[in-house]
Amino acid sequence: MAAIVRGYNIAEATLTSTSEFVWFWLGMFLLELPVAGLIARRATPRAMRAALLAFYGLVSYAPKLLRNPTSPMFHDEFAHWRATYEILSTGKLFQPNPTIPIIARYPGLHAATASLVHATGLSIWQAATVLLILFHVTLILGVAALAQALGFNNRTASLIAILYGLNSSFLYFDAQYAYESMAITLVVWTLVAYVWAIRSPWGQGRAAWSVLTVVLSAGTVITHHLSTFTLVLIMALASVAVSVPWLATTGRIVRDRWQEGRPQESWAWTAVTAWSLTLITALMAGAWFRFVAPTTWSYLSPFLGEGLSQLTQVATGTGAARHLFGASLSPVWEQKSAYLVPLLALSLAVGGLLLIRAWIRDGHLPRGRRRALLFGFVMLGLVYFPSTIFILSPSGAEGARRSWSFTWIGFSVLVGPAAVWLLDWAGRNRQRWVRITVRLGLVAVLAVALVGGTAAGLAAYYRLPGPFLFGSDARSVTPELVAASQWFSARFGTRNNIVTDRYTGLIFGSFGAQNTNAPSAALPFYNLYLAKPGIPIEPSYLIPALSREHYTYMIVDERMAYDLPELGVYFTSTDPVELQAHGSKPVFHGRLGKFNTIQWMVKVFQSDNYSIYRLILPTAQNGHQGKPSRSRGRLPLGKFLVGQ
Amino acid sequence: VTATHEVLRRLKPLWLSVWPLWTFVVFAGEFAVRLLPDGYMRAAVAAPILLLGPGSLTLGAIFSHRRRPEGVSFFCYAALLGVLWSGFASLTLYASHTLITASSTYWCLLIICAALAIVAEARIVLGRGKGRRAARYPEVLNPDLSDADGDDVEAPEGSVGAGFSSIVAVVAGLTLLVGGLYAYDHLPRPAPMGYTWIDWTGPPIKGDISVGPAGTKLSFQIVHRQSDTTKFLLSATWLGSPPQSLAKPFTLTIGPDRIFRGALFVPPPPDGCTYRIVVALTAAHQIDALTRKPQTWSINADVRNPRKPQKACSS
Repeated sequence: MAAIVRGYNIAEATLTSTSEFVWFWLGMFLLELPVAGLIARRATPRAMRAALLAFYGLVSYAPKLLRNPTSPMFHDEFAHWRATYEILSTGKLFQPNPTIPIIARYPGLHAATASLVHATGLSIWQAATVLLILFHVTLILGVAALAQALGFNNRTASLIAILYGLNSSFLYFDAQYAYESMAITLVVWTLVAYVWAIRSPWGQGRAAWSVLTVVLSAGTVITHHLSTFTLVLIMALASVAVSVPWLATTGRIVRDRWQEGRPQESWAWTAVTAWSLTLITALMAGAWFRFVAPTTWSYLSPFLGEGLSQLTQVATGTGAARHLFGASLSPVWEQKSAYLVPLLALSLAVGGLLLIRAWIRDGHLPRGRRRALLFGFVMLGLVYFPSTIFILSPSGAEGARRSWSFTWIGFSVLVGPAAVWLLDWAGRNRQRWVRITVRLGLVAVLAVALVGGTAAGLAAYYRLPGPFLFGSDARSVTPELVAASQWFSARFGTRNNIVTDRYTGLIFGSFGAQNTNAPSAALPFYNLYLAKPGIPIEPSYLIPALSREHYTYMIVDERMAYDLPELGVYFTSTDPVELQAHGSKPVFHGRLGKFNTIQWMVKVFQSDNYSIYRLILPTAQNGHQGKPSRSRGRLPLGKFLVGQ
Repeated sequence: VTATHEVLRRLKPLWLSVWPLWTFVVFAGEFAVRLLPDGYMRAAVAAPILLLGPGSLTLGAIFSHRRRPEGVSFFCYAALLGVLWSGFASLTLYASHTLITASSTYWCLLIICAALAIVAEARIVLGRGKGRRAARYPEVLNPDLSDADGDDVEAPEGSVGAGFSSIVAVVAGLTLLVGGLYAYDHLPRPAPMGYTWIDWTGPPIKGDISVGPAGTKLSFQIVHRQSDTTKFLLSATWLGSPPQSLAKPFTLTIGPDRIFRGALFVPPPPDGCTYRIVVALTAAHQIDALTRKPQTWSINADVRNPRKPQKACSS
């Protein structure tokens, strides 16, 4: 822990240096690898493994906890903070969210946080941290419970959980205050209940596990759209698996010694249970999308559609692939580790598949529900490999990374037994050097996967603290911006409609409780910034539209005219092409000074980097900028009054 | 110790037969916890009740005693279900057009807990006769499970050893987290970047400011959040072509973390046209890193004499 703290402390003072990464990873290795080693030992008691997993879950939350212990910092965290604030301040759900509109329709996390705030008197962020720690620890325990439900012994199941913790989202993305952090945990525990529901015979808990599955999947439905989609897909995959006779049926009605001579039920009934639960979840999800969150599809579809389209363009040579680690602050060895992860994963996956084949051949994995479910989860894990291709497409990369939280559930189930087999094989080997080499090799694989997976999941400026970095979300918040936001709220109240950029909007839209909506095709307000001085602002409907929508203030970060944003965008992740810089000069260079002379803009505040303008918008559809009146003769002299 | 064990041994069946009612009572007592002052003590008491109470009762209502998840699984399910019930309760309140407040959430959850406790208690009472006969069979048995794996899975989870290890692990993990946080918080770090701003402090500007025959005063302030004293030049101009001086510039010095409050007296414009006035602040020895010019801050406003005709004005 001291090494991680040291790494963060170095990072705060430098834009980037190798030592911050070295200290950080040294700390992570010292925290996690010994725990993994203890869990992998055969002699470790079962109860101790559960305790070690809980410990692992807690300490693996340290990087995120230390990153921002007192307030939101990641982009989505500001939006979710605001959503919770809205429930607490208005007493209502589904209040509009200016930063990420869709989250208003999924209030599971926000309602739970608000409830904890009500009960405990903690601040929003403190209550959020309590919940996040709970989700993080229960996620890792849930993966172990799922592996056990799939029939793995305690040791293998615990190692599967450790392997899951290597996925690129585990340390940071799924530890942030966002709905997916809650939903991924719910998905895992829903699957645990679902697997038990399928594997439990009638009259021996199936109904209870089914009810639990439905309750938990309902919780997922109200919490996060993508997790709900994925849950339905995973359940459908498992249902398909238990419906395939080659996998699921023993081919005869057997009398089972465990069931007091009762005939084992037909595999078809198991399939009916699986499909029923899948259908119920799908229906709940469908009803929620239809009646509560109808914009979900339009929110999600561009990611997949554009991702596919961009991949096609890359494949046909008509488009350029995304430059991986372009302008990244990560050291080279982190980047190389990231490239190694899919290769290592592929090797282990092949090992896992061979092991399953051997189990089938020697009768260790007979036909039946266990084999079927295992195949279902293996199929889920194999989806990881095609999904890595999407990392080359700008729009698909985000989706690919998010999918790994889910596919790694199956992937860990596939490769965990292979890792255990390797350890056991090494343990049986009489030659000491073979034992040591294999164990060290596995430790090295764990270390590379941890480093590479994390580096592939999130940019370094998100993961580590550091000085201000223009256009970087996590490093854009400064005392100056927070003070400007506080001044604004105190002076003009909350819920004003504001024109501003993405990074300024994070603070004004969250702590400031202002409405900082993103520009759209219908309201392309980035054209206010883009317009050349003295030239009418296009499109001509823009200013009347802003007036109609009651936009009353505009907040301008003067650095937009001088710096290129780290993320490459100014307003949204899908900024139009005309906002992209040509060379090293921003498109807004020389275009922001006009705001001081436009007749319908009055500057009421200026700090070192931020200017706040009152918009007194004309309603005429002419898009004019207007100018102050020409001086007519000698104007009278006033004076400064000091000490008033 | 033996006496204590004996008492615990005698109390265990009693606890097992009425635990839903006790859990409900503890949850109901959360109302009293809310009377405690805000702080970590109240959070430490209230959070486990909120998170584990409704969830435990849900498990009790869904599962029979023999099939209920135990140990770590019970804790995880109970906590997650507790979180979910908070969400479901909020949805219920919203659907019934009731504001989501501390007390409405509490009462809603209390009703839910009451219903769950009744079902859970009923399951215990009704299942009492069957328990002994069925208890000979292991918890969850699966014919598709290999024996070796099955043995492991069926091993009891909720033993005293498991509970103790888990508690130690959680305490150790939390201690590490809190220790790391404390150390990080107390390490020296670069001072945050200072800043200066200027703003109007009078009534919010919503259009042209009317200037009567006696002129008007426009108040402003300069907030200087810097660690050093800085010298500034304050000036005011009538913006136009060409711009004209509105007030005689003057020099001021502002110390660290100080606020300067002042006002600009604006005389009535000579006609009914709208004029833009600008108050500018320039740092005497500070170069803007972006523009490479002396750092300047400004605010502006439009003024007009409403008593004069606007006929001759053009923009």
